[in-house]
Amino acid sequence: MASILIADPSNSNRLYLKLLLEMHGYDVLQAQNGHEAIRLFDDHAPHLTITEIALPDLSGAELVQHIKACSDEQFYPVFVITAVVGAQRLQGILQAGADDFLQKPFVEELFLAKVDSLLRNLDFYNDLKQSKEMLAQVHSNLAWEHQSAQRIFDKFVYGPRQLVPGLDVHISAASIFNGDVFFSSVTPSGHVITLLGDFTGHGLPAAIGAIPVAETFYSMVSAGRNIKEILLEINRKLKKILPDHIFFGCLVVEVSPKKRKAHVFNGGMQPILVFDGITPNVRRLMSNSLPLGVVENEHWHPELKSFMLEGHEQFVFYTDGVVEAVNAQGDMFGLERLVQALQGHRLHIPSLVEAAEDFCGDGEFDDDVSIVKLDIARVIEKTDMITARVLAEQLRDPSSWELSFYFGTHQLRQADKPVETVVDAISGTQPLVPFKDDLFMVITELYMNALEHGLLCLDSALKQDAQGFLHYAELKQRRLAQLNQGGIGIQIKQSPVSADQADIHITVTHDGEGVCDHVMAQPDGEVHRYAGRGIKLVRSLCHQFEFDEQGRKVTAIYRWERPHAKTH
Amino acid sequence: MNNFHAIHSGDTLTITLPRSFNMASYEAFNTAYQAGKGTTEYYVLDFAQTHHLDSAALGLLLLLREHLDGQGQRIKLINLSESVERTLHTAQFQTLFDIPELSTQV
Repeated sequence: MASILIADPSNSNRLYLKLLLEMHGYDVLQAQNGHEAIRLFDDHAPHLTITEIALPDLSGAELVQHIKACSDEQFYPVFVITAVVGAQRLQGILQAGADDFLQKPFVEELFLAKVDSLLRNLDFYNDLKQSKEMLAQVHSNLAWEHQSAQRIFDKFVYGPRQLVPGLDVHISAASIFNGDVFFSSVTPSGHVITLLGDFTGHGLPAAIGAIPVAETFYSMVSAGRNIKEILLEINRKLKKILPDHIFFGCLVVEVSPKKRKAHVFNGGMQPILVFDGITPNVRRLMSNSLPLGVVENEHWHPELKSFMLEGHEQFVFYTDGVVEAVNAQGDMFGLERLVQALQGHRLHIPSLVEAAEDFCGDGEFDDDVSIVKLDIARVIEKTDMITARVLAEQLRDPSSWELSFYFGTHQLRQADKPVETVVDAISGTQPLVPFKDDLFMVITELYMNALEHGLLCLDSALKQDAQGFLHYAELKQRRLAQLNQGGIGIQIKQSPVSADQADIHITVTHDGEGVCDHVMAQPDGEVHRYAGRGIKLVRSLCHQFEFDEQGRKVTAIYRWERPHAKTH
Repeated sequence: MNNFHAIHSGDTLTITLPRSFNMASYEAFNTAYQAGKGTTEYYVLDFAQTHHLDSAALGLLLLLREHLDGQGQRIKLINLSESVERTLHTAQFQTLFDIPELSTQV
């Protein structure tokens, strides 16, 4: 039940109010003067205080001020009932914070209605206040959760990014979380690799997909996987986890400074701009693949473009946030203005950002905006640094070890990627990432040779032309399915030559009927797994190479050497 | 949310997309294509009023395609503005939908 404090020097007034209020179910406290009223208020915190303006020791306004000073945590309404008629004194007490007043004499019903309404206000106020506090609490919890999540997000998404020479990056997010991702790293073979991507929408739903993408990208890059493998794995994951209407536009630029070669992929992103670095001419590498996360891997065929570099090129790539930035008239910044802004400011990225912001007028972008420039001249200039860092990280001292594999008939029929299994095991024993591609090629050639010619007795003379090649492939598939005996053994043995060198002996044996040492005489121009290079390629990569027992046993020796990292 | 203009004719449902077709159109677009459930074999999306598509709008197109179990050839996109055409081409959506205006180009 609501409690009410009455402060009035007149005994009869107090008694009258007390009886009236008690009759209507209120608990009543009484005070004769201001100080008593303050003490009772402090001790009992009554829901409502009713006071006369004129108290013997304090002014009513002072009592009101005291009560209102306590109203921080909770609302304490004050109701003034007075015989005073002077407008000035009434104004004074209302200014001090009194909530309502009534002049004596008054009609009982009106008095009770006002008491009731003030107490209702009190409930209303306290509910509101509680909601507000709850909201503030929820908000602060949410902000805290966001902050923690952002730290985790940044750690995953931005943490592993490697500093790469020649990069100039601008990133701005429309909310705490960014739907754009940008990764850069150096591959074990010393290539610079960058990935820029854009999830549909922005904010948390868009950003959440960035974590598995970052994980996949960095772990596969450091394991020496190629762009296509990485993209397929990311696509597979995203198709599985993303809702149907969210996808991931993505581009990859990989530069090999030693070979002066670039590999580029563009799936659903704005054109990649390639400036030749001398003239204002710009080449546009358009998207030619679906974005990632739209269709299953079996329907997705990422196409890469490869081309040679002159050495002065500048790559500029960006997410659609900048070209789709809109001004007050509803016009978009667009690709042409972007190219002009770049050409007009000698490809200076901060100037481009400024030009786009000026265009928008209010200086803020509505979407996530990322712009990246990769300066090939700088990458080439720093080749030695990149290579030295990669090798220092990855090459341990050579040691002695041996691995042995045997693929029986059944395993040969169903093995998905037998050579990868072998190369992965080698990498697990001694990380040789810079030489992984070479080892993969050598082992693949020897394995294919043993399988196709040794066990399946196929004749490579069949592969003279395209027609023959098809026939060959068909025959291979049929014979493999029917294979009921024989197997292939692969032995890998490393022996150190010096502190910086080791030989890897690769021995491939088979127990089939076919003779496979004649492959040395493969006709030129043959269409084979490695564009007709076949065994010739193995010879060029290996230090030593020989056939024994009519090709039932082939041994190749691959020598790796730790390049002399320059001391800086 | 304003509704989409949709006309049923035989086994074809033609949906006219609004001027701004984006994430805010999610509900209305959903309702529009769900209306054709059961009786509709072909969907025609008319972009005559739509001048621009963002990636969220592309996501909505994918929703309709998923609704048809990935049979995008049953969805024809017509009356594309230059900007819409460019966006669809960038995303290579001509491989997912029937887009006559894009397939005539190289």
